[in-house]
Amino acid sequence: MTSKSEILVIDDNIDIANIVKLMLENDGYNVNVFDDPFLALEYFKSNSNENALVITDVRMPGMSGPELVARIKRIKPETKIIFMTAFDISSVKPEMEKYDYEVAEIFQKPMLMRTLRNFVNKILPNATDAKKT
Amino acid sequence: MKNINNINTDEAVDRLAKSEQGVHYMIIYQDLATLRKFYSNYTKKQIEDNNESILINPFYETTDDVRQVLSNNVNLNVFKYEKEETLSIKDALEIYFGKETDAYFKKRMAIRSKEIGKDNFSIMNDIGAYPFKGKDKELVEYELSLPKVFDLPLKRFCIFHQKDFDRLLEEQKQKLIDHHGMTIILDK
Repeated sequence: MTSKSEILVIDDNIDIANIVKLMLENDGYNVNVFDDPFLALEYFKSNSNENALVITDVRMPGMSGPELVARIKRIKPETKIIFMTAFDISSVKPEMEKYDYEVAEIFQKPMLMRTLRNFVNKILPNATDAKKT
Repeated sequence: MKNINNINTDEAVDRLAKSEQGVHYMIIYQDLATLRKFYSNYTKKQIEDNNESILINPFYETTDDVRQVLSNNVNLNVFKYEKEETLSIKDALEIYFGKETDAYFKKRMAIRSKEIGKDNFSIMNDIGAYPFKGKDKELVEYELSLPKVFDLPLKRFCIFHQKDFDRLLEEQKQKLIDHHGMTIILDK
């Protein structure tokens, strides 16, 4: 049996999250989007077994991307993480270092969807199987 | 909580445009669209009608986003006003946690504003940089260290996203409300 990889996408600009969702669903992934990191975290708590990858914005009101990821990593440390930000990447790194967790990649927005898609397919081992199902 | 005014963006712009020199107010917004409407209308009014200079410190959008909003929403000549130093737009993270301290930078800007013949200088700071760095306590301490009324030709508006304000303890919220001359919640 092939298991589909589930991906969580969080961005306070829901339009961006939806574009990423459309693209990755095209590749056969199950994608859930949230514009509120608190709701995303609640969802993750109940569905952490299915979630293999979290793609999140960095600057979000109420809870930043780095803080959200720290909480997610406490629940499931092996979760793969991609950050996307419209701001200078160097301003994100100190926040990640503070929490001391591993991040697969940081993408600068606006980003080429093809680049993101290729990267996701590379880091999720069952990407090809997911596409077939 | 006392001293809170729920008003729409048009009323907020009118009220703040008429506010006196030296005021230190707090503004809470629910979403970026509401904030954009507020700062673009306020900026246009103060620059073009009231001979003021403006500093905008965004956090949840880039400085280029702000330029685009000002240009598209209220047809402001951003290039011209930035060039003549009537308008400055700087990322809040850089302002609060950069090389030059926030207080020094703003004092320098207020003096510069006077030098170029402006009657007043308005500052709109999104405080999102503090919760981003997990420095809620430091935010409250910093705000309380600022005067309730400035002895400078400036108006300072501390802008909170509602979700950033909600992070704070009730006691911290009340301290901030008490310390600011007025708290405005922008209605959508």
